[in-house]
Amino acid sequence: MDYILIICKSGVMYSGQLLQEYSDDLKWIGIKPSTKSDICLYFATDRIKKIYFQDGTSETKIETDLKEMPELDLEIPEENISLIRVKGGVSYCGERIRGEDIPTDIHDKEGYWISPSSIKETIIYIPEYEAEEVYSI
Amino acid sequence: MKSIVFIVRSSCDNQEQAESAYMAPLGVLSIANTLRMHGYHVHVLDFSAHDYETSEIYELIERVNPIYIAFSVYTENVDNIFIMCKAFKKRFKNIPIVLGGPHPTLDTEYCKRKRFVDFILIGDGEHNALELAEAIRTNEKLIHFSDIQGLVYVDEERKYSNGRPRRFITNIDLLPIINRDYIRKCFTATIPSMYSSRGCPGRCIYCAAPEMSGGKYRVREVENVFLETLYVEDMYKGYDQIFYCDDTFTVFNKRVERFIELCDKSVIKFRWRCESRVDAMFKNSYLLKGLKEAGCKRIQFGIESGNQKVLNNIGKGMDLSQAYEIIDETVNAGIDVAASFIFGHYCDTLETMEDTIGMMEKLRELYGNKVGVAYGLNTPFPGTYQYEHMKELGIEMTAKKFCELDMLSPVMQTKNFNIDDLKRFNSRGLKLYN
Repeated sequence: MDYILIICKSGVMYSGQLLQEYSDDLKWIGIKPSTKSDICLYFATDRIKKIYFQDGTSETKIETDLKEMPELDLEIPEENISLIRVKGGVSYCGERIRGEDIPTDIHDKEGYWISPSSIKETIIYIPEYEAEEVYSI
Repeated sequence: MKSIVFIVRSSCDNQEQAESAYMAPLGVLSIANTLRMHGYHVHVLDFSAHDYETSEIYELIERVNPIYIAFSVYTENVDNIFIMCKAFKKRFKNIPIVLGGPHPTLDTEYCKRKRFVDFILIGDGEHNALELAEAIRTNEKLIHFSDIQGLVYVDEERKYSNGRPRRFITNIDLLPIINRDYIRKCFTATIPSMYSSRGCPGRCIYCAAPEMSGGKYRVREVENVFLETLYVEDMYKGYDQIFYCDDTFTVFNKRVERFIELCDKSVIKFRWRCESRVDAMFKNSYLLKGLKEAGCKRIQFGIESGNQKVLNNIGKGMDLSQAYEIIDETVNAGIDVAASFIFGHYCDTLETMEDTIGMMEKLRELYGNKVGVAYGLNTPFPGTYQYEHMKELGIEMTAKKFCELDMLSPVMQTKNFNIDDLKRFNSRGLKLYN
């Protein structure tokens, strides 16, 4: 599968290998940032401003000046928070999402599902075997 | 909204020099993007991009009331940073002051100033800066300061506690891509920079990179590097060359081959430069043609000395004959070369430094402007082998303050050369510098 780079409304940017063929109909785009890890990130397509593809093309989904820092509207969740240290030395933090609340477009898998923001621009999937330490409130 | 303020002072504290060749503070921006992803509004004040008045910073801090103020600290600016920290603490008593960056990582003890430094972040900053923010925000309900790896904090007895040992990010692909929108000046830089790896496989005794990265060399997936390049190319219209500022870009030949393939298939072409090592490029010299076709305009090689014995003694692991050969092959492939040197290695003598001048002259003579020669004066920074073993190596530091370690001023001598000798080689080197 090809790699893409996504720029979100908040200015958060990630790149990785697509989990399924890219299409305009997707409500969530999933990527795997590293082939050495099974951690996946899902991005809500209505919050994506631009995508770069590995053939050098790009698609602007929301017209905006990418050099301007956008108004940050990501709210830090206040409840059901977990901070997860994953293999590879990175930490992710966010609101835990229960299985039934995972959007149906995303294939449900066992593990940790968290969203760093209550707006749910991004949802992070961390398999249990990738989580080294978990702190929760 | 929770805010955090990052302050970056130029490593040289020379505004003119910093402005002429602006390099985005990628480390700080990477941390800022990790925090942004988690909902924190980060402000990055880079003195190389703008000469901030103190009142401007005070106004911002009063307006956004950050949960902490973090300073990026290099060895040569550490004492200036302390002056700022002290003033900030006096004015904003309840806002934690945080230090991070190379100097706090390599010389943590020096940074423990209880009256005005609350926290010290050690090593890669993305995870511990986020965990610190979460600890402060939740009043340690989510995570205690003592649980954060690579964090020095002031404990209940008002003593510094080193907490848990630092943690290395071994998979840097798991981090967000660096959005440069924190600093407008980033987008007007003529040599926009990005990195494809952290650390260096080399173990040179004058370099702090091995200690900074714990001897770990970590590479990004080349597809991710390529895609970030497309973003940089798109944003920096009018740029000259994109600079992969890793210590060594071309270590793994398969990775470079894949990068060349991606460039070849891409509808967008770009111009770029990188740093490499003579030994790495020598064994993969077949890649040069592809690199040229992929848009590579310049490769920088750290030669460091024109004398083989000196190279052997400083752990460079390089053969001078290979250096001449690979420089020749690179130029013949149509790629310019930058060769950099250092005067004043612990084992240098007047004769060996003559050899270095001789090599610089020879390269200029053979290749003209196709090979740029650059040099610096040996500077024992904390964290380097030579700093930790000065007595054993016969190094006498003449610099009394860290701010003198600007790599342009002579700061050490040995029984074989003194400060005046270094000044003379500095003048001669300057005439060859291009």
